[in-house]
Amino acid sequence: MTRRKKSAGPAGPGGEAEPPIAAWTQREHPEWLDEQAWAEWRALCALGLCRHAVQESLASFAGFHFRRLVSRYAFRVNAPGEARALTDRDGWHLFETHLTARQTREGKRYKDWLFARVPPDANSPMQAVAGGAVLLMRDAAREYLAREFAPAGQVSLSSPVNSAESGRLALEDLLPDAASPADEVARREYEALAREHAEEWFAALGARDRMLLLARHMGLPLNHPVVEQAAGCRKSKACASLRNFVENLAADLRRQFADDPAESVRLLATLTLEALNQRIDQWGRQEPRCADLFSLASRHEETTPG
Amino acid sequence: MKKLPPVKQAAASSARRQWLQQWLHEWTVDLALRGDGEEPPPDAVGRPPEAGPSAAPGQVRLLFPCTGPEGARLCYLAVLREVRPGHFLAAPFGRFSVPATPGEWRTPRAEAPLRVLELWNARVLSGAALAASWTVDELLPREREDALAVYQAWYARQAPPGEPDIRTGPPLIHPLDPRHEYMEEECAWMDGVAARFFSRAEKASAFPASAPDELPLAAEPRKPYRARRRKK
Repeated sequence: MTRRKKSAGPAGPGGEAEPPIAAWTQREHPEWLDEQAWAEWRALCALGLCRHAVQESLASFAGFHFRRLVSRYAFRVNAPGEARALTDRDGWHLFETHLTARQTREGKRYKDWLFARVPPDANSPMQAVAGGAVLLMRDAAREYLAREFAPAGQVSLSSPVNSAESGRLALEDLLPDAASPADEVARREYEALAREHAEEWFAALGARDRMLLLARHMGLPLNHPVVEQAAGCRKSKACASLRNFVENLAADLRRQFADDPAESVRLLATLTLEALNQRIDQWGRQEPRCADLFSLASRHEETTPG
Repeated sequence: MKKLPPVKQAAASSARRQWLQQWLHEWTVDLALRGDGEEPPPDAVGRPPEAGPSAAPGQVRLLFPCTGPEGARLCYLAVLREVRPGHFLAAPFGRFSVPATPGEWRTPRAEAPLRVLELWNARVLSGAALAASWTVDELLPREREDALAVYQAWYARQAPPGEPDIRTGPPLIHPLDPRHEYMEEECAWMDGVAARFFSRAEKASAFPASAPDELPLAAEPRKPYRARRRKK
């Protein structure tokens, strides 16, 4: 059986395995690791003030990696030509402007950060600088892509949310004010119904689900050892349990209000979850088993060891 | 069969709805950009020659690079207040262009690294740990006041007093909201950063300089008890 040969460079959009970027750069583009070029850019305010050769070299580096990142996303959204429109200079400009905190020497400390990555005994010191730049470029690319591929017009409230955990959630499930009752009387009626349903669900929930909902309400990570111990399960099981609970709650409301419009039922589901969060918070404050969770939440900022 | 009261769709221009849409879009792109063959985080980093000036409330600082996964991104911190002598409450700036949760504040700044402050993810760091950073800027007094108001409101689970002028993220209600995943990632990253810088600072100031387990104990035999003997 023959093994498939690895590709010679960072994967293009084809999706082949990528070798480490640093080694590939050293082999294919040693000019991108030129110490003098990077040092000149560090010393001067912006690449535009550097010698022409330095500008060409570093812009080519940035352009290549920026297009690589843009391609990775553009192929997913069926717009493979998008990356081709980006010039080398565009790539560098987006990189530099995204990282500048202020137009002063202090505001460009990210340059010092890149150079401080170089280990004392590095054989090829600029690999650390260039590698750091590639890491930071991802943020700049994300921002560029989010802008360029922004959904045209308004996004439907029923458009699905992209997440591993969230299953089939839509935007309107996450926003309590996506829809609102027609008047104040209707609002009070929704709130009363939500409290009623929350109370029923609270009574039906086991201790583990209550703990998990409390942890989420307090913004605690489900994989934190204190949360895992309180709930008696690992994060994967906790997520499955929460998903199961949410699906049951939604199905129950849909069944009870089968003749009502979907947006009304969704609003009631969101308000019920909100009321349930409050009810569980109230319960947790009196429940000795939750003391560790509250303690963790209140001391969260004191997480440095010792 | 019960009947629910009628509802009306909220104004499409609701700022929070737009922010949530924007944040979810950026999150989707962020997930798509994570891939194999990414530049690995550093195993070793250098030590910047100069230590920064001592920490003081109001400073914006950029931490020196560190090893491990935490070293894969810049960590800008806003030093908010001195909570006890030599220890400061500091909050990291976020990566996204809009605040994700009510614990995040959209600052008035336009520059990408300093637009969103993650007050929910603030940490108490020692001055020695914060010395391993560069001073980048200063918060205006009003900015610091607003940041502290958001921090306090988040922990009290209330709306910040200056809302809607103080611009925070949309409420987080649904237990499966993807912002929970994001918060877990950010929290783990900041825990790692705090641990790395804290241990580095403690090692620098610790006495004795060597770790206790490296020192020979007076009563300890040279060979460990029941060390394996060669069979004849």
